[in-house]
Amino acid sequence: MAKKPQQRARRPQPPAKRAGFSRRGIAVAAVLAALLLAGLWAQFGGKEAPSLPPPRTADGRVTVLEFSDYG
Amino acid sequence: MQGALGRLKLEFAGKIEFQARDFPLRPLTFRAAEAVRCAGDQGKGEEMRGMVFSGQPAWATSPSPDSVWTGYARGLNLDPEKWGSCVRSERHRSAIEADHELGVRMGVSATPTIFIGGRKIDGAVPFETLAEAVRAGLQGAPAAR
Repeated sequence: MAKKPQQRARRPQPPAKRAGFSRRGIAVAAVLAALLLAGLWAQFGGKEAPSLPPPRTADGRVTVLEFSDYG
Repeated sequence: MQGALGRLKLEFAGKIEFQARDFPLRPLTFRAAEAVRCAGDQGKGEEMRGMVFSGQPAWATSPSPDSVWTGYARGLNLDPEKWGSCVRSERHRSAIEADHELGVRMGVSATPTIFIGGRKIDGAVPFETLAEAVRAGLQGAPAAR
């Protein structure tokens, strides 16, 4: 009697991987980017650069600016 | 230099807008600027400024410059609690840093540096040099809006 060919049990196929990044990876990257932006804002963006005083005031007085050190 | 600037303020009263800006070059002088500004909070900034400038040889060589400035504060009848708390908390740090930043932007690298009507004058100069610059400024470009 001819032997029946044994059938291998089929393994369940893993779900097809999608190209790109996982949702978790994207979430982690978004949090890191937000932290980086917050750090950069605190370092450079939190205060306005002082404006240069005009040579004369609106009422015509000459601006005299003294930069001094007490040393 | 303070003498020449003082005379300038008197002789050109009403014709100049004087602004003293801090450009501390060392941590110690940064603290001195803080001490002066804290006196300014009690209306004695000019007086304290004069005392800190003229007393510089004393406090700069003192092991405890803060106690020298405290003596000035007492002499000016400042509220010692308020003044001391202001100095310790470095209340004016950001304003002093802003002055320094402005100076850097305007090309200041040493002190004193004076700008009169936008003209830069480096170092200590006699009164007449300052006065000449003011006169030139008064005859120069029209007022800013």
